[in-house]
Amino acid sequence: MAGATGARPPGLSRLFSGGLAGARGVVTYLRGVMGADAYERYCAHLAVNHPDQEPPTEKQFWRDHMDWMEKNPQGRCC
Amino acid sequence: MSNIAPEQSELPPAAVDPQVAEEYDRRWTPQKIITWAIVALVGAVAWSMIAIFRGETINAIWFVFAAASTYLIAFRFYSKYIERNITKPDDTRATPAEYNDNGKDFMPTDRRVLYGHHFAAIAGAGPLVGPVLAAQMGYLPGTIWIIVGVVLAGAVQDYLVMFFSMRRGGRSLGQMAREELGIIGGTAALIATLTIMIIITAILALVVVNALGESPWGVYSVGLTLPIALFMGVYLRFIRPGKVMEVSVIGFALLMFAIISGRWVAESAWGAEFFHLDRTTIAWMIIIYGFIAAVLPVWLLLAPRDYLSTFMKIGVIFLLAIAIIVVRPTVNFPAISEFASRDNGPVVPGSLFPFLFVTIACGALSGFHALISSGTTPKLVEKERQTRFLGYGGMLMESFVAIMALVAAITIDRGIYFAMNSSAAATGGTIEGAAAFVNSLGLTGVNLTPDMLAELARNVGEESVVSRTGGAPTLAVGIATVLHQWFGGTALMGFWYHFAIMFEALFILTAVDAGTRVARFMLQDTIGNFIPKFKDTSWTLGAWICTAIMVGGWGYILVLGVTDPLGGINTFFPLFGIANQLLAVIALSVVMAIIARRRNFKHLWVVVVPLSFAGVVTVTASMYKIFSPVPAVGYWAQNNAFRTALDEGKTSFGTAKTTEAMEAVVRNTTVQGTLSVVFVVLTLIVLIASIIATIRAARGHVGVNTEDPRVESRIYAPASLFPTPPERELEAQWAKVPVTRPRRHH
Repeated sequence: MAGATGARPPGLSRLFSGGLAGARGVVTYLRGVMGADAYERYCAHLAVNHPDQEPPTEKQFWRDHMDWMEKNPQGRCC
Repeated sequence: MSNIAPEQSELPPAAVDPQVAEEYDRRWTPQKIITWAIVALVGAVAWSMIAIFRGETINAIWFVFAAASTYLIAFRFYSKYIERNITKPDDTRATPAEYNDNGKDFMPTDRRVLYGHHFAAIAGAGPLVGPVLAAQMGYLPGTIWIIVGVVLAGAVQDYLVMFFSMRRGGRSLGQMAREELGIIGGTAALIATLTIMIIITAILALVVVNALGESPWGVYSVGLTLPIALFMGVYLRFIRPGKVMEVSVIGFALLMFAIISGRWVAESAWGAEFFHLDRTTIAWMIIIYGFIAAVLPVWLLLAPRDYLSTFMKIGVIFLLAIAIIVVRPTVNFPAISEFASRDNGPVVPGSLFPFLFVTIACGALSGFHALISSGTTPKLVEKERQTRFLGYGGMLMESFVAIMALVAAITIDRGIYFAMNSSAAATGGTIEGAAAFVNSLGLTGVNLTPDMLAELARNVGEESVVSRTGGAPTLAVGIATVLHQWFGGTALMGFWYHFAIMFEALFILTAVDAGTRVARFMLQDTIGNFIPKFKDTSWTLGAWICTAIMVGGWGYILVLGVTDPLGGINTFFPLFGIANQLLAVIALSVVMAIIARRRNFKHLWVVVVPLSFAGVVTVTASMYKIFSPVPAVGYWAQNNAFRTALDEGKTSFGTAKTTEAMEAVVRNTTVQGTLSVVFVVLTLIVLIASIIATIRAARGHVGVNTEDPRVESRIYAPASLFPTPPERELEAQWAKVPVTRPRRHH
């Protein structure tokens, strides 16, 4: 199939890469809305504001996150 | 702070120069004029089609156009007016997300992401249910209220509460009520909030019970969401920590499997028998579920269910919008029906005013949002100016969901609509009884045959569609009607019906367990004022006691609703709307007091208008419910009628065929009537406390400033969805600033 990709007219390949970028954008957006990027964001926060602090492991972060949610319930509306 | 000053000067400005922004806003280029002229024109045409055109049928697409163009105009002009005159945001001021940034609950978040996040938190089953029930009065009253209501009331409330909470470090509505309204107003607000949460949870649960009763397919597929959520929880905890998207996609696939396989189960003899549950059993299962979900660790059930629910929420809204635009269904309802001017509608009793305005709460004005708009979202807002897009704009989107629900409901046959939404007491629960009852209503253009009901039931894979009250099944039929024309034909109607039931149940159950948890914390905090030990939220016994109290509260009302001889939804739903609007009255009262303290009396009308309207609606509706001599409307009139009948030794009265049923009516109306009295008293206390605070402010008593102290902002982001040219320019300057620059203020 590699040949087929190479033979694609430039317009189509631009469309393809554009579509790919769009899909990636949608996934990034959904991750943000659902809070799936919480760990990366926390690590980025530490890197900027507390460069001396060792970031927690992903597993540990999510455990702390859930413990925090346990004590800070978020309402869901009707 | 002293070391910030020189560094600050190296950074680009944290806000677009207000003068430049203002100039851009006020400069009317030909391009801008043409764009807005088109929007206004489309809106005018669409509104005339809905409101004035009286041809054979009208197309549902006009509702979408009317709503969208009105929202755009309101957002561009009215919310800007509020911004310019009331909130007066200042982007050089850091938001709590910036000055309290901890990388977790306080954190500057991209406005577009936060918009989705906020929307997922405020929108649920409410805007899907109310408009369906209100369609009994025709589509026009509901449409006008949803669109005009959101512009002048609902979105205003959400925006202002969010902004003022943000200025106060993300404080909750309860805390703001205590600060602004004093101890009496604050306490009334707290009691009202707790009571309201009980009522709202109970009635949402009642909607689910009504949708799942005697529906093996529904019980099976909604029941399967529990093991799916547990699996997701374990997966996220032990197998692939933090892979939220991955597990949500897996969960979604399993959910689809649960819906598809539901048909096989429901069509098998053992499945039909095992999953055929009556409504009382399902009510008890939900009560037990509610308690367990609220005490289990969140990672196991609550969090994964929430991911699934958010995932579905966004998907379903898009699906529905696209389907309505692609299919463009025709409307089968009159603009204004026979029941708009009567008070004996079989779906929800009562005259148009005030009952239209309590039947549709979510989507037009939802007090519950004030609990979300204060607290969670304000802690994540990046820049002050973004609250207009998030608060006002977020509520516009919920209103759009309500319009789509209304559209879905009014595309089904009107006879079927009434057969589904009239209580079993009226239809007898049979297709013949339902057809006879609906035809006896004397509605123009309605001629229902038992065959139509039987065929619909067969198509959607249910045993019966008669008296499936609560709005959810009707909406599901509407959605299935629209979607099967687009995709799958009649063969897939059952799938789409149960897809709709599934997401409604998912939204509601998420609201039920999250609501129970939130209410439990509130209750612990309240009891903690008298017994300090209760303040410790990690004390298991205390947590269990408070959870049991809250679940007991809504569970009791749920059981009353399920066993109500008069129908359940039609008698209890008004309480849901009244409770929700009452919360809006509280939120708007707090906001009014704050604006008065800012000594901005000239523009106070922006709050006074929705506040007086919501106040008049809740008080009038409660008064009807308390004092109306019509038994179908007044709880105490009904109570008296049944009491007298019992005293006279009758063994059957109206739709109650036994002495026990009559006693049940007396008990239910006592509970409903008492709640109405409690609600109206609490509303009046809060309202009076707020008026006193406002008058005191007018007399010059401003009191302490409850805002957090000003901190200079050192970040920048545009205010709305699309950056304006001046914003884009500033964004480009900030893009050159290295990211590693420390941002801390302390």
